[in-house]
Amino acid sequence: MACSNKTKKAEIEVQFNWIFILIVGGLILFFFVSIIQHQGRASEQKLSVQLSSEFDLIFTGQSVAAGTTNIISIPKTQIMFDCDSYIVGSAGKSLGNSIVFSPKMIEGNSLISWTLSWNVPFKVVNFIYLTVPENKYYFVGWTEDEFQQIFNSTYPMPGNMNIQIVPALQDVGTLQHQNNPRVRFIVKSGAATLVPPASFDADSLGSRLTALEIPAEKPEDLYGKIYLKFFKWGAASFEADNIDTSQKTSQKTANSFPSLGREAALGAIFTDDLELYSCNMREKAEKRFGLVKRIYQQRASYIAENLPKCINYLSSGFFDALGGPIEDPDAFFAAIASLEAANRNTDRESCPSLY
Amino acid sequence: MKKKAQIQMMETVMVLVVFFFIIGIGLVFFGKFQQGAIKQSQTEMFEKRAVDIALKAAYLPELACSHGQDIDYNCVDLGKVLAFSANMDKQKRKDPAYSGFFQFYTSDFTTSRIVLRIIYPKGQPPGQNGDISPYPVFTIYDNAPEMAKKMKSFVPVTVIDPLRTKGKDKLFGVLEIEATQALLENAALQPKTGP
Repeated sequence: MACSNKTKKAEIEVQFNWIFILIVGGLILFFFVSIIQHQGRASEQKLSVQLSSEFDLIFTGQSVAAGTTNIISIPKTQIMFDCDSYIVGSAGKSLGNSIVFSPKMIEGNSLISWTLSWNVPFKVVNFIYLTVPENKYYFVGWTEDEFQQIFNSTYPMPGNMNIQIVPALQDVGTLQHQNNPRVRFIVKSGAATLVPPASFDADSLGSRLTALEIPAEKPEDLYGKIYLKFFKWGAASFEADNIDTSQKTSQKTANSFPSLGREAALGAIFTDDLELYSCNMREKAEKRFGLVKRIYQQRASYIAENLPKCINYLSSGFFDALGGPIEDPDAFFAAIASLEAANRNTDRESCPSLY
Repeated sequence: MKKKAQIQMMETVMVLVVFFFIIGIGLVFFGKFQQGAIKQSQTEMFEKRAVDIALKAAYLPELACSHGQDIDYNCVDLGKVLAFSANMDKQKRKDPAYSGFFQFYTSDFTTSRIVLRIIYPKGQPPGQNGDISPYPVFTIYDNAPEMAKKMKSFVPVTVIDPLRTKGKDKLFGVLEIEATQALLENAALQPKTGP
């Protein structure tokens, strides 16, 4: 009996030891796993913050050096853009007053960044254009020469951009999809009737398949003479992209946007969303234009007050005709031509220039 | 027998206590190290932001000398500086006509201070008609809190006074950009969960 009790006690002790080891072992394991998980999350967040901080410097560098193209190697990550900020991984950062034209989402190992200065007629701001080599851009309806003249003069588009020229709309049917994550058709006319070939599997590309109609016959058309129309892939065809008309948008700019020079039109090629483009142009570019104009106006008044011999050539009134570019682009570019002439006159009269 | 088991149990518990104690000490050291690393990365980020602001200020078309579409970024136009600082005047900020101007640039310059100091010619140079027109220090932007960690950057620039016709006699100055630590709090650097 005593022996049997002893054996039972030993059995319980052995079992208890195992249970004890399991519980304590489990606790220790859980402790280390949770530390590792926490560290993983922290380092992911740290990388996002570091990356966004690096991007900040890149954007600043780009925004001060016009006419430059950079290929930036980045870890394969998603960058989401809206008008005021961008998000890398889990870290968001403000874009400040920088104007960045890019697809709503960028994903890739290298980033193409390009900068052009927006002069109307004085320099207002540098536009930053972003894309990745994987995104495809088809220019439909222009010959190679026309494309070069209209879109690629002075500062040509980055060489690494994935561009293909398709001279006629009917040639679109012969195109082969190259598994590009984003496809954008830039067409001279007939975007609404454009149907990509079956190989594109338009429905699975969905919102990553977009089109832009630029009815430009010659380079001058980009300066206030035409409207840019944005399209998104709908059920079976391209459908016009619309902005919520409750925003401060006129009927005319609810589904299109005036072309305010080559640099601004190029922005529409890089941006695949009308709302994002409109916000960049309306809330940032036009606003900045108004402020820079104000500086030049006040400078002209200051000089005219102190240099009486130049009073006829340096009136702030020369800037008055330069109204809002978006509401009346035609009048805006006519006023630019007058201001350019007035600026040449200041040189002739040995007065400080208007701008 | 019972006593032996108790001793064995105590032994196991003591091993666990020592084990967790060592882990605890390790964690404290790790925490301290992390704290140092966070402080260092905060300083680095502050320095980056300061450089960022200095670059933006030095390349502002609103201040740079221009001739038509050509911009000379190593040069500041005094006419533009006067206009810019008049629009940024602290007294006028409450006026809706000026508050928009100040608001627009706060997203770039946040809590910093930007000043143009003319350092040559020294003293009071002659004005347009031989009269004495002093060149004071021009405050271009001022939104820096008094009590904050500061970092100053200096950008040497030539200065053109448009009244001194065609910029024949250039002045020499320095753009002083004072970034404050408070700007980090305004840098919108917070994690986000979605687009």
